[in-house]
Amino acid sequence: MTISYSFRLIGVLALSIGFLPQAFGKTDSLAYSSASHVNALLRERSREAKHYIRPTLWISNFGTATQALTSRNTVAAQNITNRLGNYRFAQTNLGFYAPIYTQAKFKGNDTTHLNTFHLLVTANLLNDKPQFSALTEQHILYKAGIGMRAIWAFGSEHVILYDASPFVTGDRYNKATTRRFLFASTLVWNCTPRSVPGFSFRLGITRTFLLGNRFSLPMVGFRIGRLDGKFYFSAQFPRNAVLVYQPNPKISVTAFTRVYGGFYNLSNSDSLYFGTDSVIQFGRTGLANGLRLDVRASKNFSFFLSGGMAANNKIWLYSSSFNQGTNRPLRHFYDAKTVSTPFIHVGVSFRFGKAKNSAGNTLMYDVFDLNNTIDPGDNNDGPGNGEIRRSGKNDAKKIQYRDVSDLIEETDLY
Amino acid sequence: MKRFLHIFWIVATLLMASEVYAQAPAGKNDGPSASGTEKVQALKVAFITKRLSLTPAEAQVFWPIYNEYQEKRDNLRKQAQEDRKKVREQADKLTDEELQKLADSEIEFRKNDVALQAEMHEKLKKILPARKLALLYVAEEDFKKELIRLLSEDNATTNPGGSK
Repeated sequence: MTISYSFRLIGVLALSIGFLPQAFGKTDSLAYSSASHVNALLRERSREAKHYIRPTLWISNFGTATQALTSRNTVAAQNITNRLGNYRFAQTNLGFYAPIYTQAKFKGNDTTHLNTFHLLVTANLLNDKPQFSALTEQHILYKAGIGMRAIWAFGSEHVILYDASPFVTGDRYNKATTRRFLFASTLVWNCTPRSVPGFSFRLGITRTFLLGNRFSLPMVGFRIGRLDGKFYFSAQFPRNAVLVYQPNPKISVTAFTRVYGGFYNLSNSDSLYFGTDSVIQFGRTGLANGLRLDVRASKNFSFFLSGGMAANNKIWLYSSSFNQGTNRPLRHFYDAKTVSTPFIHVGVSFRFGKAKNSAGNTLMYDVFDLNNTIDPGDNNDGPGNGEIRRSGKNDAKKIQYRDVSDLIEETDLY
Repeated sequence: MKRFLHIFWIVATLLMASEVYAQAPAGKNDGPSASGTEKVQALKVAFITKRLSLTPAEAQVFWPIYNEYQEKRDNLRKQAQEDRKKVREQADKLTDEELQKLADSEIEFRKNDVALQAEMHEKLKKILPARKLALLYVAEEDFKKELIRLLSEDNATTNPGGSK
């Protein structure tokens, strides 16, 4: 059984577990509890929020400066390098996720653990423009995918996420021949032990194309500090390491190192490969190191500006026919790299609709963080943790009557 | 793609504009603003955590339960307020039968609110020591008073004469 089939099977199992909520242990659902008449009434009449996660749409642009390519000192490699010229790339990423089903149930021996299950639909559209100065016509690579993810938070400590991101990639240079289906997926377990405040760790496995080739890699990560705290540090291999400073609810400043990259079919119209392949594969990767400023303008809108140096920029070209019939990482016929180059990355995020209250709910914060870190489409370019609000000194100021009128009753005034 | 991006930025600008508009000062009868609700929730978390001296382990179990029930109660309260508004504004136009129904549902809301509180209480008993549970209800009341104090302070600053 191949690894991708294993992932699909695990996904089906994960979903099945979510849909069999009453199979194990004592359950006490808010939706099916003894106070069912209350809940029936609420369902019938209220506009109660159904989900904890809000539909989110984000768009970002990432670009590097132009640098000379350096390849191995062989005639064939130098020949391709000369035909490519200098290299830079720009990327536009549009991502989206929306919850379609959420279940909240009290479970455990004393029915005090609020277990939640979230099923989300995800979408991703990406334009990747590797620009080679010596090519007369540039390749515009694209990636489009619709996926699903399931998140299960249980036992007040654990979160399991399974993300399935099938997508189609290709080269606009020759759409018909370069179109190809790929499947990225991730299964992660996140644990936030109650005995160790402000700490969580993650273990998992990911099928990713982020490193410019197809890999099945372990995922290992940890976080020190609260997600709604002033500082926290998080390292998530193979994705990123971040040190986040949140001076107030509106702003966060992040020092980060982040992997970026992709893997695409490329038209061989410019005969970069000397064989008979009409389509070859192109992989690129790098490590963006820099600072990022996130501004959470409101509950619904946030944006970020980020810049720094992109290091370890590498590209590879692979022959399709040479690598046929294997599910292993592909063997390349050309590789090159550039020196570190400046990059700029900007983006906006929109969140829509109402969500259930998760203030102070640290496990739900981990759900949000996991959901945003493992972005749809395997681009390592998520919307940021806009749902997690750090409390601020000025929260007590400018409270308006309309914000509290629901909470105050006449007798409170005596 | 370029055309798509242009459309996106136009939509983004409109959304941002609507956001600014949504945050403009409003009258007393308007619903709570999104940012206002967030602020109140954050204040409440800080207030109750401090008052109860919740340990991180207790907080990790307490907040999901507390939020879930508070949300149910808030929704009940909103429904009751809608009915009261109906009675307040249309009492002369409504039939006796309709008014009787509204009066019955008022009592039903109150009973349901107590039922939810009792259900939450039973769960919290299992995770909080008696001292903290007793302090919770006091803290809830004190939080309301704190909100009233904040409101009156703000009112005194913005409207020192006390006139309309």
